[in-house]
Amino acid sequence: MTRMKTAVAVPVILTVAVGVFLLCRSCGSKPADEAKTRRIAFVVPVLDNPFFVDMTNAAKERAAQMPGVEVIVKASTSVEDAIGQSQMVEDLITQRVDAICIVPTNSEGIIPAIRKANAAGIPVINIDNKIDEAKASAAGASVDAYIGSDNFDGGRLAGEYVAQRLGGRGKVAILEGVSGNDAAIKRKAGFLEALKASPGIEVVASQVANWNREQAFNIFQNLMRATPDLNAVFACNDEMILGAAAALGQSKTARETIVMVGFDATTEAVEAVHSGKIDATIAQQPKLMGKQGLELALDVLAKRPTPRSVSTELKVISR
Amino acid sequence: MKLVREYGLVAVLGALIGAFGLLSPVFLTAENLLNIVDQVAIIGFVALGMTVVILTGGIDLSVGSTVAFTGIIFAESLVRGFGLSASMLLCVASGLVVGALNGFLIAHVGLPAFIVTLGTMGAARGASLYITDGRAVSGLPASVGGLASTDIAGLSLPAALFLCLTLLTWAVLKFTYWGKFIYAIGGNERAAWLSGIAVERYKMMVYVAAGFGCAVSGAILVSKLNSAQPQAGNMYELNAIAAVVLGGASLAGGRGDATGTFLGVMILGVLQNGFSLLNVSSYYQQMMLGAILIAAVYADKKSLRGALDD
Repeated sequence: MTRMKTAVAVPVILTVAVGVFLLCRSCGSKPADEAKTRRIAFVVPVLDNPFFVDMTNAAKERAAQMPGVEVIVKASTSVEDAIGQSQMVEDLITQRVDAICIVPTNSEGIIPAIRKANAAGIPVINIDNKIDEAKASAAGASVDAYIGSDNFDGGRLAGEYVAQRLGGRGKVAILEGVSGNDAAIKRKAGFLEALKASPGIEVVASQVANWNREQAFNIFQNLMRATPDLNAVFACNDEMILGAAAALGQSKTARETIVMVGFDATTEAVEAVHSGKIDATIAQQPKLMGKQGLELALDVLAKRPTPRSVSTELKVISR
Repeated sequence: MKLVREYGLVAVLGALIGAFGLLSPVFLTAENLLNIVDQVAIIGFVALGMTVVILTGGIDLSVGSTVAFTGIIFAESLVRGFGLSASMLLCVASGLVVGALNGFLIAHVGLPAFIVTLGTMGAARGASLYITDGRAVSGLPASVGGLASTDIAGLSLPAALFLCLTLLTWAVLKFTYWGKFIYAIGGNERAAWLSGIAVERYKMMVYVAAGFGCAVSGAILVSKLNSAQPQAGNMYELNAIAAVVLGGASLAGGRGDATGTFLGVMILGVLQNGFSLLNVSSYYQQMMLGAILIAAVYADKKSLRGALDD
């Protein structure tokens, strides 16, 4: 008899718990005027990266200034969750959102989902990590506009900064983003391109730390051990340079001996530049991207003429 | 007793569907419901394989990596011009090989399943990254992308395949000696061995079956994304085990079935989809998944103790 009771009780408790949880949420949120509200979805890889937090918050702030615009933010729990992101887009199509602004987790994996949005007549704005355009057009998928910084240029800016700081001689390491990611490839390529002008600079290591602070910490510890006379490190994002800076901070190596350059200019990294924990970061402007993304989406919906591609400016932030 | 449990699961599923239907105007649309079955299929194939493994009292932690690995084999074969059928065969074969390796080490060498599959989990992931140099495999023929969206009697191919394989697993477990022996091994391995069941052979076979499920999942995943990612299938072991346990299987072996797993997979899929439609953060979803898993195991433990009391 006990068995029967538990077997029934647990599912019932579970269901009630989920139900109460959902009701609480739906009571808390104000009923939106469904008919007039334009719902713009922002799909970003994760929200444990301040870059995407800045981007989506800026979009929400901009939406708050405009009547009848709601921003829905979707993020996965892993930067590698390509199928999860596709399913989020499918769900947004089911919800009939008015437009989708997306930072693809994977430049190719997202293409089938974008094709579905195209078929449903929902405009798609591609932000930051660019979709593979050749493969997209081969698959019959397209985005209405692209907003982003030229990652190659950013990488080159970083390379020029490092070359200048080292006076054209020294040993350099690179911490790479997720393999196959468009931004990761271009930032590294731009950096290497800039170093070609300084044959005295040798790239002693280039390792993948998956945009991740903890991985960068461990990898950089090993790098310092393998190359005790390292002169500079370029990390393809700020999370990784902050991880490397933490590893350097715990080591006996003096801070000044290694030039540390990140990418993205997140709030924390800019503070780190000012406090001298790192030397420089390349400023992408996630807040501007979020704002531009929302405005472009609304322009497309209003059938106003829109540019196919918007380039958000980059700059070196150093002390 | 088993009936009560399954009714309990059906009730949970029904209540969830009802609740989400009330809260979201689009949840109960045919498009969305078909979407759910389509979306859960990928984890469903893995969970069916996991079911037979868990029935013998084993565990397979390598499933997520095997999904990625078989997907990479599928995509690489296609890129090298092997053609669709040959590539599929290679994909399935690679899944069977991983399964056979697991099975051999566990059943014949006698190593613990947890350790063996933890090892192959790392090895298969490493192999995927090595083969692809960490990059996604792309440039697949257009026919592959169309595969996952093929319509079969109103269902997508993944959804139809999931239903068929559920039915097949259910039938095999219920009506064949193979199935009865698996329950017997999970119930009491020594007794099964003493009564003349070739325990090693059947234990080996369940891991091969799990490898097969992973290969199907890997191929479908490649077709859905029109490319293969070496990092695919992350955390699938957790989701698959959660679905199986939620479906009423006991991790000690000997109890559980395909219909329970099907319901477990559906409950998780409905929760995920419903939360997504209601814009509940994916972090809540993970917390909920963890809580549900623990609740299900708690129910399992209580009902086992009840069985002894009765």
